[in-house]
Amino acid sequence: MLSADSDSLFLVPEPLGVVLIISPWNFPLVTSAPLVQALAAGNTAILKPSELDPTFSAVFAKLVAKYFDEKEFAVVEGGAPETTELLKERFDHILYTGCPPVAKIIMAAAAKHLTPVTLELGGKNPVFVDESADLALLAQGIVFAKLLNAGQICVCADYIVTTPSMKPKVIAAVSSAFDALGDMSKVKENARIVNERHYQRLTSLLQKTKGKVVYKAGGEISPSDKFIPVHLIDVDVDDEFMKEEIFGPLLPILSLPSFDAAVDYIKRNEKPLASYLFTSDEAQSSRFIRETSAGGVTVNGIMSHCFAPGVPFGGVGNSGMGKINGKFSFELFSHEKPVCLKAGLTYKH
Amino acid sequence: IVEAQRAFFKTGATRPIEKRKKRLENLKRMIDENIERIAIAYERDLGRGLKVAQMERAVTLSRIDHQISHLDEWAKPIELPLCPPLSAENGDSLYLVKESLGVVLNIVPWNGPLTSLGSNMYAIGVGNTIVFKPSEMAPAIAQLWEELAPKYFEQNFFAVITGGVPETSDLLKERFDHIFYTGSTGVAKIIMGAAAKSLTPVTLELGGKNPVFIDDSADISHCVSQLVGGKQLGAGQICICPDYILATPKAKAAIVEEFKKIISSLGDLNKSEFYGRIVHERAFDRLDSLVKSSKGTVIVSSGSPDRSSLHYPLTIVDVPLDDSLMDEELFGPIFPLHEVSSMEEALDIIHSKEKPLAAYAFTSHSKVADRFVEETWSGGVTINDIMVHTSTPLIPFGGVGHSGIGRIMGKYGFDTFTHEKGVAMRKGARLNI
Repeated sequence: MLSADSDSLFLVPEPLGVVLIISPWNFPLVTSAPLVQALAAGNTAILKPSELDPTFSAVFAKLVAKYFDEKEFAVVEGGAPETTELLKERFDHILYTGCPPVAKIIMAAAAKHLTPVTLELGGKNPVFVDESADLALLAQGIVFAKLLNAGQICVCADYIVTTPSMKPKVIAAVSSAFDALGDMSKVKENARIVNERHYQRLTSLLQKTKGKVVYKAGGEISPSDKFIPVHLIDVDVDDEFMKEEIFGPLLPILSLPSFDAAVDYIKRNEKPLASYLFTSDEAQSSRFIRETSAGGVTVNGIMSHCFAPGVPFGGVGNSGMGKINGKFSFELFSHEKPVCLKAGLTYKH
Repeated sequence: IVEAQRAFFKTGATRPIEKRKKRLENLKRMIDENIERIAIAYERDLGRGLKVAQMERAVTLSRIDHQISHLDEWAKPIELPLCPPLSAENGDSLYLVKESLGVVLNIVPWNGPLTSLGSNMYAIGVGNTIVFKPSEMAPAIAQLWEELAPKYFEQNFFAVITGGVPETSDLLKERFDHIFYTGSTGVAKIIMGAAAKSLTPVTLELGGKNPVFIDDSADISHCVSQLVGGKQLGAGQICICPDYILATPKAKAAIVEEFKKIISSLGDLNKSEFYGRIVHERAFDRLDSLVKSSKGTVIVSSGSPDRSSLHYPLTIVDVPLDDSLMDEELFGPIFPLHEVSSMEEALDIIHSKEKPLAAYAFTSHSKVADRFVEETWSGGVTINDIMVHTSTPLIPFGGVGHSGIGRIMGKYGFDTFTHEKGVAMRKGARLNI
């Protein structure tokens, strides 16, 4: 049907139009960064930063107004009411980073206009530690995860699952790694809990749990400072800590009789944004990767797969849809249009 | 059914590539071994016969073959180059693992039954299970699929759900891992709204008012012959069919004469098996009333409308801009033709409507072609022909804006139903799957 003598075929990346990006409070600039690819793809952009970062929001809005015409790129500040108003408008793509309940509202609003959505959510990211794990490496990973913004990051380690024989060793290794850091409340740069509501949410988990706190890092829980030291809590599967994404410095540890049982448990729950495995058994790690699903996986590390060039960043199932990171973001915000030209014509860009 | 499929999926039974290829082969056999019965159902439901069924069969089978032959390559993990902080010296490696999603719901329309059956190939190739909902507007076909599927697929792998709006509404209350819908914009909004409740990703293949711009430099006889041929296929009831024509003055005059010449020599399309019927009375009445309420003039028509046989003739109407025929997607054998003074005017008109699934232009000026490509937004474009940009599995097929979300065909279809999972392995761990 097509012949190279007279026909030509192209894929032309085309901008979509007006892109809305709604970013969360935990890493406001990084999570807003896809606006760069939105503009690079030839769209205009509206950014709605989180109202839980009022200082960032105000400063960023002012700077954007100074460097951009609002017809190209504008910042809209505000909370739920402003976002609701914004969602009544029609966009050509909406990128939302946040939590599943709000994501459902956004997708439902987008459905009214058939606006494609990209949802970067989170999940209960498991850390499976098996008999052959390098515990020093694990402890290093946990320290990194729970100090990074006090665990308030979508790809954080949410809970540890291991075997009964490994559990005390895991607790010991993680405890001594945090002990070496001392009282983190004395370190001003160490992250605090973002606001009163999340602080209450986390401290009430400590009250509601039927589990046992087996380790508490240095420093005291402080309502005024919203500081919560890292806690390790030994729990059962039906505990409060195993219900929702924790998003904080509290780490439950669960023991299940076997690797099989752990894989089953992970499969029975919502697909997380990330899953982690510490092992030196290749068959075990391959099986874990094959049989459990997550946005992305790191074996013998935490978050190493995130934002690596060439790796799409995104969730699956309840942890999200669509992918960002570099070229993937560009593709998100463009339509790759097939163009066929016949009768000797070709397309000159 | 959904639960049973999900349980089946979780056993890992859909993972082995050889099993997936076997299922794709069975999909082919389901079509091949029953082609006569399929043709009879085509005749009953659509008024199109064996030749049309054979044509769709050939295209569908070649697409399935393409998938089978590439499946190993597409499904295998990709090893990626490393950047700091990852490094080979540290024993790090990085992969993209192709993961299936789970249970896929595929809701298809009535207008291309074999193509629609074939559209399951993407999800099957990736290792998902299928809940297939054919259209109630082609009931003989739907019943045939319902009868045949259990003979060709494992239990709890491929379920056929027949029925109409109530059954679809019930289906949409269930949770799927991806919903693939081909049909209209209105229903798509309902489906996406339902999908939002469980954060289910959707692929929507819709339609639109696909414009054809013809300028004075176009090869008129080629252009009109393509347009007439295209509109005859299924009596214009195809998503990528050209919908309306915008022509500059000299071109318009020539087109009018050419349409008169060609259409009068077509004979009564009522007998043509490629043409077929309008799908039902409601659609017929809609087309009929659009033409009757048009403020335009009928230039030529291939015959007379006949409601009892659901035949609508190929009709060309010269219309003003605000005409009833210039409003919604027609999805029928009618060409509204509107004269424009320039390409600018044509572009303004095209921009005033939703982004269509396809946009066409006939011209011999490369600058006009370039401009058409850059200044219109659509699922895809063909210049100096129609529909050809959808002709091979190497080209992505999908809409933008109201013409759809996501894409299928070939590897693009495979990727749509896949989750590409980034996997970083450190400390000497290597992937072995």
